[in-house]
Amino acid sequence: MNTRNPSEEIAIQVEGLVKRFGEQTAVDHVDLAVPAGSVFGLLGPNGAGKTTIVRMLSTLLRPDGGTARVAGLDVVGHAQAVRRVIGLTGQFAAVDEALSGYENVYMIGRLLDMPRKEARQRAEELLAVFGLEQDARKIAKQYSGGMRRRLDLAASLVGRPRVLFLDEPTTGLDPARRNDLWDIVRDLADGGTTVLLTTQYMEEAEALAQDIAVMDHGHFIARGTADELKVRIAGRSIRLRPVVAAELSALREVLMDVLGAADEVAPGTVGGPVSEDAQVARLLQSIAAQGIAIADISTVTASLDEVFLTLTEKKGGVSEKTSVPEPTHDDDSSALEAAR
Amino acid sequence: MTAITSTLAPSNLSSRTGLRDTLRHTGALIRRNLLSTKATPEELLDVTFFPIIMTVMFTYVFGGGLKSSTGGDYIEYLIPGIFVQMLSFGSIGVGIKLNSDFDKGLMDRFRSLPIARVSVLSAHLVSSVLRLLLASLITFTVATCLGFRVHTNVFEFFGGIALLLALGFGVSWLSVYVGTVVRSPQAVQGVLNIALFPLMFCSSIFTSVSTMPGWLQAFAKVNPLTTAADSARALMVGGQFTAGHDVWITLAWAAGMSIVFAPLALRAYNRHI
Ligand SMILES: Nc1ncnc2c1ncn2[C@@H]1O[C@H](COP(=O)(O)OP(=O)(O)OP(=O)(O)O)[C@@H](O)[C@H]1O
Ligand SMILES: [Mg+2]
Repeated sequence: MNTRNPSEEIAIQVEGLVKRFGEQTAVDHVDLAVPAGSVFGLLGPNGAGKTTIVRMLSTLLRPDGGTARVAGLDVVGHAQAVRRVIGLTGQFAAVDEALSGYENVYMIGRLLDMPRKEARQRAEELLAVFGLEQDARKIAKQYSGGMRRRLDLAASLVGRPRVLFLDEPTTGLDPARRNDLWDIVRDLADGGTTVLLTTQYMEEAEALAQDIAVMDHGHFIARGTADELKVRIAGRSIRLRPVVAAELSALREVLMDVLGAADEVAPGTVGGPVSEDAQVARLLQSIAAQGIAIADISTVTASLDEVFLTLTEKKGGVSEKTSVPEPTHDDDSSALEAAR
Repeated sequence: MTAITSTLAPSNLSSRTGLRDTLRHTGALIRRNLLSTKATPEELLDVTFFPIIMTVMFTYVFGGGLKSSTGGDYIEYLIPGIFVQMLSFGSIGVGIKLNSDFDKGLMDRFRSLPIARVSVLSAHLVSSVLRLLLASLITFTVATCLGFRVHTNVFEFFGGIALLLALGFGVSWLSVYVGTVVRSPQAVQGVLNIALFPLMFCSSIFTSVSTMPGWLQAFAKVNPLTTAADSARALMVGGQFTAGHDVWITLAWAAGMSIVFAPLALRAYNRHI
């Protein structure tokens, strides 16, 4: 990797950040610190406030309260200086449709004060990185959605930004392109670039981000690494199958006793939530004392999807089970299937 | 951690962009606009095809009837008016372009770059003038084919074009203002058409003001498109057409529109998110 000490340098520092749109508070006192060279993942359902945070950090929107510093610079007081170190890929591709892919990227190079030759080389280099060299001279109007997306990503990297904001960068990319982008993000982070990305895909946050925040209704409702979130929020559960089916109800009683909850999770199998490690040992002792023979035992850690749904159901307005949208992850995998 | 000690901060902490840099950025954005016009030349239709249609229609369809009121060769009366119509309506384009930059999110991309915000606007204004000059050339060529002849000298002719461009510049600020405050490119077109169509028909562009009813004449005489058309006739055709104070009144209109709408437009533009 490299020699920087991530704990010393904070690339993005946010304190008490607030943004209101009329009556609505889209971002409500958010605190955040992202160490240089790390990837921070911002998760949340539609309307959570992710884009609003990205737009404030990239100097496009003025915060109504709190402070935000990028590379040590205040996003309001030093907006122009902040723009010299950031790259932004917004939620919706911002490309000039009447220009070719090449001209779009070349223009950004020129606007970043590169000499013509350098801008030309950088454009060709980035178009190749994003697999667009074949279509570089085609006007962007003729690009597919995913190609536009990649062109937009290429444009945001022209200036070799030290801090990169990616708002749902993989939306609309096919699985191969998505993996490519993940590799690019990892490479950038290895090279010292700090990345803040928003995503709907738990899988993506898990694959890329060291640190994840789940937000809803303008608040951060959970923070931590993917593993921490899985265990801490949705918890683990234990599943047991007795040898003799008739002992199922007795086993269920034991689980109720020790874990406080139990359910028949599959035919002939009962399960319950584990909130502390000591519970597992106590449970096994009680089962032995009752003399119940166990055929199968397993512990399950929640997927991030479950974490996400648990959190946004509990704290959010979506309390009705029926109104909970399909997990994004599932949507995604079916989309992937379709793309194959 | 303070702003200045961060190793991530750029070497240049200035919040301003130098004039030379801004000119270069504007150049890069003008190039973008011209490439865009090259890729979609149909954008030029309203400043090329539309004036030609109007010319042909008014010369051959209504021309016979209108001739009696204007005297002489109708095409010599009409063409300077067509230039007025083209250069005022053509200025709607700048507002549409600006609005679609906001609409399509391109302005977000530009605003996330360390460039002066005004460079996007000035590039659109310059590109608009370049488009209108090209359109003037096309209109002039077609007019010549239809029998239009300039009887004044080169200076007067180009003085006429410059005067109309000055008026177009005033209209451009109105267009920028509208382009910044309304929500869609179509709405820019709609609002400015509503403002300009009555001005166009209640003017001396197609027929002499003296044929209109008295109450309308009062309006038509102060209408900037009338004074612009009368000035253009005097400067491009000469002969029976004389300018009088029309040139100065037109210049005053052009300056007045810029003075009123430029600050409004700049304010709206700088506040727009
Ligand atoms: N310009 C605006 N004017 C008014 N309300 C806005 C504006 N932008 C965002 N909002 C509101 O702020 C809230 C947060 O929006 P935001 O775009 O940040 O959500 P998000 O987390 O990015 O959602 P998504 O996943 O759908 O992109 C939403 O309720 C939205 O309606
Ligand atoms: Mg969003």
